[in-house]
Amino acid sequence: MANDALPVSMGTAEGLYAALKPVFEELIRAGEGVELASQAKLIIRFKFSAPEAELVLNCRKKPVELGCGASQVRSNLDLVMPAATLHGILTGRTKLADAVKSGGLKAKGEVLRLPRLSPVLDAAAKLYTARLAAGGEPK
Amino acid sequence: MPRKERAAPDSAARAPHRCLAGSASGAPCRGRAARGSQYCRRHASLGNGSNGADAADLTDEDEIDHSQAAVEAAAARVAAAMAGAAAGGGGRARREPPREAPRHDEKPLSAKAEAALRDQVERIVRETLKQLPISRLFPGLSPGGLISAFRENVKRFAPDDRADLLSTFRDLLGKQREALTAESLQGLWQILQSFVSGAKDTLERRVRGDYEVDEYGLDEEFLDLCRPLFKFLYRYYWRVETTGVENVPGQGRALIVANHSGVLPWDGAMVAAAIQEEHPEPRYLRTLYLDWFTQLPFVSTLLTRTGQVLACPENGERLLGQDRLVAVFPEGLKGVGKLFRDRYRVARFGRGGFVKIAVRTGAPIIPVSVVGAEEIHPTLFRAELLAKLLGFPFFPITPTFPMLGLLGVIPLPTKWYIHFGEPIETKHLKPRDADNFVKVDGLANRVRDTIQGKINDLLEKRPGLFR
Repeated sequence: MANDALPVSMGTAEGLYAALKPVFEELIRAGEGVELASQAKLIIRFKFSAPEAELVLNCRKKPVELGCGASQVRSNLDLVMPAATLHGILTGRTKLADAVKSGGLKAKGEVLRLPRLSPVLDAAAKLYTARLAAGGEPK
Repeated sequence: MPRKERAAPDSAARAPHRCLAGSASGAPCRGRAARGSQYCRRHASLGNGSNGADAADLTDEDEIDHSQAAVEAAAARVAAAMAGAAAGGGGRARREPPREAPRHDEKPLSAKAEAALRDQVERIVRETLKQLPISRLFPGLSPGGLISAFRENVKRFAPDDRADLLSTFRDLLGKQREALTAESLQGLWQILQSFVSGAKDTLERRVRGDYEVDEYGLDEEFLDLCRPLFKFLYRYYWRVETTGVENVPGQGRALIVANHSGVLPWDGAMVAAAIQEEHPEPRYLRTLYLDWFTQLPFVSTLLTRTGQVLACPENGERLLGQDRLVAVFPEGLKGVGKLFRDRYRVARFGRGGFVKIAVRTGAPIIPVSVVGAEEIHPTLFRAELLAKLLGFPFFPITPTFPMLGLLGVIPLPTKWYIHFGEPIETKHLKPRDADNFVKVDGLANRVRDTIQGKINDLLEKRPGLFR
């Protein structure tokens, strides 16, 4: 969403990866929220604008694999959004449904499996906010 | 033609200005205002503030002045009235006559009024939609409606799918209570809307011919459109059970070799669907197809658009040289034209052309066994004469074809099993070994035996044709 300001440190692709990669890695280690996505054999590609970046969460692999940067893996669910929208969702300021409704998040592919992503984002949100607070970043 | 403005010799003394009333079209009354009033005698009731005839209803053409200035003035008055209505005056503003003479320096007023009116309408529509709960608009989409629909339909699914659905639903209801709120359903509706609008854009673009294909004719967009059909066939129609998919490399070249059957190349489509649906790193499978398929209407175009390539050694070597995943069915016509009594007896693998391709490119060979495809079109016998007349290599007579006409082309919903065997490496062989008949034939027979062995295993374990 437009009014979800992205922390300055996440203004570049590297900064964004540095902020998100540990969150998703911890999520995968703990196995939190990814069961539904694994059952649905989801391969989710987060395609960000501002900054341009790409994250691929391959829930078909055991353990779930996270890829940072452009990847040749064929995903079955693409989520295209500004990085600030994901920041808004993870900080709880924006709901996933609202982001879709407002057009801030565009889903392509097997869109009906989008609800399976909800637990992943919920679990990621907890870790993300905790990390932001620990790092002294404003929410 | 606009009439010339008539001068009033003693206008200042007797009638300082024209009547302010106007017609519905916005043209002003051309009558002169009575002394001490802003209206003519005919429209005197308006000046009294009484509830008389509406000025806007006047249509007496005899009393209307068509001069440019008068028309502009009337237009400005109407616009001012509209702005008044838009600002919240409602219908009353229309009944009230304008109190002041129009000013020509307010020319853009009508545009402003139009914008204000449009804003107002948009606001009302927005607010109304916000007030209408989605459950009232679409009763089936309310949480209650969804639950009852789920209860009614859950029994229609296969036991495994039912268990998966139930666990998903339980999770949604337990951990994710908010998932079934009107808001999230609105989100889902929004997704569907964006999906439909995206599909519409795609269709329009494709009708214009604005799409791309790769060097072999693969149209990724078209393949994405076909994917739901293949997925349906894979998951629900043939209920395919796949094993050993991890033997297919996620990257790099590899040659998939499978048994062939079923008249039409559905087995190729299902092997490709298995890789798309089950593989941890899904990738396109390029199948080398028989030149006979090019003679079938629509099939040739469909095969090319979905990335399949005409079978010849050059195409195979080129594809593998580009580190792609290639599939061949070395049984060829002997496989698809097999009689029902010969089912699951893998025919001879030609002259081992696929081995030569693999040896020359150093690609590993992955033997794949497909069980279930032999019975989708059980060929009872072949009508040789009819085949000769039509120019086909064979013409199958099945229990349903040609007796049921086009309906007979619909394959039977048998239960399928696909097994991807362990790769057989060819790296240890030199390119010149491709011309060594003994080595080539030996490797071809090894692959054939592996496929036949696994088919026999699967047939033993298979509880029935349809389960």
